[in-house]
Amino acid sequence: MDTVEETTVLVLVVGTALLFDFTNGFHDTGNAMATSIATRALPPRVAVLLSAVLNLVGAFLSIQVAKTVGGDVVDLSHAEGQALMFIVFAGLVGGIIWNLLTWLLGLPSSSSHALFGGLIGAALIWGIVNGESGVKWGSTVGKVIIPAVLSPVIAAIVAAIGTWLIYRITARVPRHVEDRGFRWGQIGSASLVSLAHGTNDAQKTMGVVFLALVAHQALTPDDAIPFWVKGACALAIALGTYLGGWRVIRTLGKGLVEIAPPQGLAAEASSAAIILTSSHLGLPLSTTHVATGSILGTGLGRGAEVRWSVAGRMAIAWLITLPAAGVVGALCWAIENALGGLAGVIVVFLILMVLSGWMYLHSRRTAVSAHNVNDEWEPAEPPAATVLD
Amino acid sequence: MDIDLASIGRSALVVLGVGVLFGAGLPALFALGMRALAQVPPGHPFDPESDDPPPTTAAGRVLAWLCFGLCFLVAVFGIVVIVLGKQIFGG
Repeated sequence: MDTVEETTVLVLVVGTALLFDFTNGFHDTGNAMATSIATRALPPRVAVLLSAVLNLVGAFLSIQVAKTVGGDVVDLSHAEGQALMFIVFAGLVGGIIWNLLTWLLGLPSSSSHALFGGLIGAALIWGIVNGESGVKWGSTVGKVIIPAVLSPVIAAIVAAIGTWLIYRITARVPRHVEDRGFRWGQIGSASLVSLAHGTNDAQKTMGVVFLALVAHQALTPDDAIPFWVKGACALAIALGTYLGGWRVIRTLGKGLVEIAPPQGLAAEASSAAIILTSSHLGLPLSTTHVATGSILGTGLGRGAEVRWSVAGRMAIAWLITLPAAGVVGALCWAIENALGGLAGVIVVFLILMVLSGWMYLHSRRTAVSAHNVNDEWEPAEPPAATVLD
Repeated sequence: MDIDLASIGRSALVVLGVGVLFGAGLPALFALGMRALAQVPPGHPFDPESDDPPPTTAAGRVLAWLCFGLCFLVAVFGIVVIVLGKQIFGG
């Protein structure tokens, strides 16, 4: 490839990384803000704006960005230059497509898992073709899969205990006084979750862009992350958050359990405490799995009805996130490899655009927006259920 | 495959413990503040469905703001963890 082609590939990879960051933002808005929107502690638009600003601030707060991405799941030390670029690009496309599909279905699923899945799929087939071992299976199970199974359980227990305590302690407090007070607590705790999200998740994309720049030899591995990379990633995740993944917000805020302000506080406090401490305590957990577990737990703690059918669909989505994104990542890598060079990358990028456009058009049929995000869940089936019929 | 289940289990228990301490403890503290704020003076009829703001005793108010203040301080500590987590915990 000549210099122009290499630069074009770099631009496409960086652009796709920012696109992933953007889907990461709008897919995860609900993790922090679904409860505040459901209890009307904040109007929907204000909630997503607050979350977007805090994600932006959080992204800039990440002072020590991991310069490797997916180091727990893939070993790309033997892939260099264009080979590395191809794997990362295929992984990103796998992650984006899975993020969009789960958003279309209104299912909260982990953006990190989607990215890891895409990378695993691409690295696996690259390894098979080139006789390398691209995937770290043991570490994938120990650091990604098992924590993903544990995190919703831990979060649910914490949130259930918190909810139970709140309702016991405030049994004799007039309901409207209680609701007003707890709405404030809810906003505070949800803000912490947003800030932590910006710090954690924007970093991943910063790592991907850095990796691409190193593969292009624009930077060396020892260089600092350039400011424009930080700024672009921070803006992408904040814009995505502001767009608001209303379909996911609706499922989390209205679909799983009915949420009152005290439950909202319990859920967000549980999420914030676990997300902030878990990665430092040797068990890195996905924001999405924790937030969903917390919301479920707050329903259990109050003895409220939990819609297990909704929870079940989420669980299935979580189970298949890694393999599904992996298949897409592997297919993309195969296409790139078969066509070779710039042509392969452009074709995969076009496929990504066509599929994204198709999913966007489908979402318009049963649009969920700030106006109807809080509508009653029953008796109508969730809009998501019929979308792909 | 090299999976250290014992260490994962230990980490999970620590996360659960810290989660219960802060994630459930703080909402409980906040709830105590709410209860103190709604402390009804002796002889005042209690009606949980009433829309009138409840009278609050001075002691109740002090206790309430102590609780809220403590919650606020821990939240600020949360931001410190977000910014300086790696320096505090290492790794």
